[in-house]
Amino acid sequence: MSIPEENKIDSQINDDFLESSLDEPISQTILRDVKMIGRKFKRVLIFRGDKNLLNNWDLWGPLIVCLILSVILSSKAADEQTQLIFAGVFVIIWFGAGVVTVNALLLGGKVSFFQSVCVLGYSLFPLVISAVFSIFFRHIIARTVFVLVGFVWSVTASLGFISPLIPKNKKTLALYPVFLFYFTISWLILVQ
Amino acid sequence: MSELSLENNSQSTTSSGNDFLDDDLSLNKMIDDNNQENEQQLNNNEDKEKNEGLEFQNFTPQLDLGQKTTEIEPQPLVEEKQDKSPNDYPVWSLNYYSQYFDIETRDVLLNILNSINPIKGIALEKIDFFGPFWIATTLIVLIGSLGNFTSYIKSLEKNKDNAGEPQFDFHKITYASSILYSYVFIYPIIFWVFRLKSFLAHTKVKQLICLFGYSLSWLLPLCLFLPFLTESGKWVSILTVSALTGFSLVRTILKQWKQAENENKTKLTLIISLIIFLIHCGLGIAIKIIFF
Repeated sequence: MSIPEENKIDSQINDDFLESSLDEPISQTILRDVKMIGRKFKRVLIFRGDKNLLNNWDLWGPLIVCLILSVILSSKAADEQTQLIFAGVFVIIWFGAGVVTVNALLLGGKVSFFQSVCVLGYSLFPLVISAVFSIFFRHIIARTVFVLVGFVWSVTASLGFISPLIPKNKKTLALYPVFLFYFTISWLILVQ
Repeated sequence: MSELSLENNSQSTTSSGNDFLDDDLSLNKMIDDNNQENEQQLNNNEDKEKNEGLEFQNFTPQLDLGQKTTEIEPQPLVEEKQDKSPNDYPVWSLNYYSQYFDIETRDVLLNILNSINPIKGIALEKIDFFGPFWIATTLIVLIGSLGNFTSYIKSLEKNKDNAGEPQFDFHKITYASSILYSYVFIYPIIFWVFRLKSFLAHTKVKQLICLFGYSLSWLLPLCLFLPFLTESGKWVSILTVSALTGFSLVRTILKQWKQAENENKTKLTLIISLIIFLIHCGLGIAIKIIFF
């Protein structure tokens, strides 16, 4: 009955897997999912390893990213705008990712909706790191550098996934919204 | 002996061609018999082998006749999917709207370049929704960011000793988005709904949306320069660009109107063109006042 950890995570769902996941303690189930999310974050940061890791999409990563960003950005805002900014960042991230994905779909790209939202959300992780850094370093030039590095990193991470799936003559049209999406979020981080 | 049996076999098979289903077993038996005969006569000359081959093939027309009855069954599994045009999809499916996004990079860029032409009017390459939507969104982001930047510069000028933290006003983004999206999408729809029957009877909503959307495109490079100009410079540049694009907008719509052959209503022409021009310039002025 004991299947090695790696095979459990990497294999497709099969009967053995389903049976064993009912028998194991809850902590093991949760830890397995948490490790999967952590692995995807690592994959976004370091472009090495399993390319198909992000194909098993999940929305936990984007949710975590979204919450962290909203909390950071709203905590630094003027008092009367805290709620507005929290809600605003939430809306920008989810609707922005949705709109960018719908745009790619309408232009004839062969992406699946949730997979694309998942990738866009996970690729925000470098920007989250730069947001955390910019809490501690308030000097304007240092923050600009951090945000710029985070922006370039995020864009590269998501482009690597989306650009092969778009027909060639529409590539710029489909990739420009991605660029705009990350630019908005980078600028929101920079200005706090 | 084999030839006789050959003839017998061929006769019997032709007679049993129509009742092939009934005589299936007998046919198979005959095939088996033939196979045995073929094996026995491997050393014979080619003609005999050909005969046997031909005879063997005699069965296949029978089988073909049989197969004709099975052709009514579903067509082969591998089949070219007929491409549906976007109009075949229902309105609530995403594929229906792909007809508005059937555009290439080159077309969008040409549309943007052509959108300022006071003399001849705007000449759009292709009607699409991609341009208007993303131009409006880009404008929102630019106005939001540069508007806050401008207010930061203004606050710097006011308190020269105490710079302080840049106060970031998120409301700018929300106001900008409501103004711009309504200008690009809602205003053309209202305009189209209230068009008088004699005037612009043949324009479609999507053409108007596309037109109004692309007319905003030259505000984009303008916004990049606005924070760095003096007050009077800002006013001059905004008014110039708004006037030019507004004029080309009016020109385009009038050209379409003339094509509808209603030349007697000069007063109507004047009023409508004035309305379009004023709303367009009003947008430019509003952007200047609220954000910069």
